[in-house]
Amino acid sequence: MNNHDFLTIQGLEVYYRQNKQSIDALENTNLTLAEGKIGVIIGPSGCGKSTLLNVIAGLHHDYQGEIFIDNQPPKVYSDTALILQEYGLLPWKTVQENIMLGLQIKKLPKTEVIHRTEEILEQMGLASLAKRYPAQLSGGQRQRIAIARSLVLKPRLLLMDEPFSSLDALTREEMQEYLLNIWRETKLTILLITHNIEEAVFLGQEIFVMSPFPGTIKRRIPNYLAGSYDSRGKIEYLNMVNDLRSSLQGGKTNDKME
Amino acid sequence: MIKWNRYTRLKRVEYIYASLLLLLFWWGLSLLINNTAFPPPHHAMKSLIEGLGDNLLVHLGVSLYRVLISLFIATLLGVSFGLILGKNRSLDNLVAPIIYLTYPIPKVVFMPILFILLGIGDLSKIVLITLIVFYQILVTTRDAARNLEEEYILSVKSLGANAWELYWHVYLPGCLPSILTALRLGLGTAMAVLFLVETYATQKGIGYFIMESLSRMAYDDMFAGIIAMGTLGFILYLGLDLAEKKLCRWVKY
Repeated sequence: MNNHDFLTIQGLEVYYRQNKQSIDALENTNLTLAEGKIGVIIGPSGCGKSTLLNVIAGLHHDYQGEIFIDNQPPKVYSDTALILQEYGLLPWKTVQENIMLGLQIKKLPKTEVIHRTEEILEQMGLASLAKRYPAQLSGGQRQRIAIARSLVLKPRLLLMDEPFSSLDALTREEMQEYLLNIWRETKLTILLITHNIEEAVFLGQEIFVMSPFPGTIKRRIPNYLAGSYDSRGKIEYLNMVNDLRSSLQGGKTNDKME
Repeated sequence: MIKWNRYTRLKRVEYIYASLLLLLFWWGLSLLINNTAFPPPHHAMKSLIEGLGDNLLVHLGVSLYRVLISLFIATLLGVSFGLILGKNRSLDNLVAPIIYLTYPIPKVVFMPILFILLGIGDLSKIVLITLIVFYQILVTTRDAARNLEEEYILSVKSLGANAWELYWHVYLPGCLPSILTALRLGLGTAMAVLFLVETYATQKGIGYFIMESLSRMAYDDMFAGIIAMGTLGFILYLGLDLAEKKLCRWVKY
């Protein structure tokens, strides 16, 4: 175990109980991520990606093995923010109320709650949407609000479960760059799930490839191309995409593909 | 959830036009039937105005008190238990068979035994109305809480919310549209049961007023009572509309 690793997972096993049968969701899963890095988890559906994220977020306590975030178990560590696939915004609260919720739950004084909410809305250029309900927003706007709701808590670890999967292609690229900008400014540690290979290569400084039945991380790929706009379309980038694709398809060789 | 708004929330002009049409229908029917037991609307109206000057308001007040207390207690208990059962699967698994077995029993059959056990005063009446409305609200609320999107619950849990905060920020507001729909249906039932319980062993209440007018063959008075009871129900209904408009603004988007 490397001492500089912010997030460390060792020998993680998670079982689900279903119809009196115990189902192996994750087995012998290992992952490490240094502080201030963007990690991307990629894998086919049903490989336990979301389970892994929920365990790290401290929503699922029933696991075996070790997880430490800044040397604390997820149950204790409180500087984690989680953004779910459909953003998890409450439809009965306005944008402003949604953002305030996390601060209220942390029992901050009312004036600080209002001040920090206004500040983040202003910073992210979302002030004009403050009084709207989530249903009145576009997919991209909802995603921004969900990010704002997380950032207002000043987290050190941001977890995202397929954050851009329901956006159209253009908005998706826009949001990927938006996320990179936020990362550059905050130097947050981000762990993101995707099933999109190009997205993994564009965003992930560390790429973790998962395989199903039972879910586990089978490969870790450091990726120096991450975050560079010019590399999209270059040979190296395409090689990385192909490498990742073959890895996902069970290690078949490149020439048999496509 | 049933979309009520389209059918219930009328414009002022529409209320007037619908009321006039109903009065016209009533008047036509009274001409057709031509029987003192079915007076034309203006006779009933005259009697209504006289009655309001007399003791009709007292009867209305007593009825309003009985139905409001019952609705309040039924909502409080039905919503609380419904949310708790909807949130806690294992508890629901224990209780669900009991609810399932007792739900279809028409609770009005307990009226005689309630009269015997709780006396013939307000208490037995209120308990019966409460019991009936409670079931409707309980089942609707529980089902709404059960079917709440897992995503909302997880996202708020991940913010560190405790059980109480989950109820307050997620379960209650998320189930409110269903609860209000259940209350609307419950209000209709409550008014019907109110009439029934007020026809027995009481000297107060609009149900008593109607039946007492019948026994005097004062049909104008009887219809005045019917109008008064209808209006009472209608005003309560408008109150629920208003509550929905204030509390569930997000639903229309």
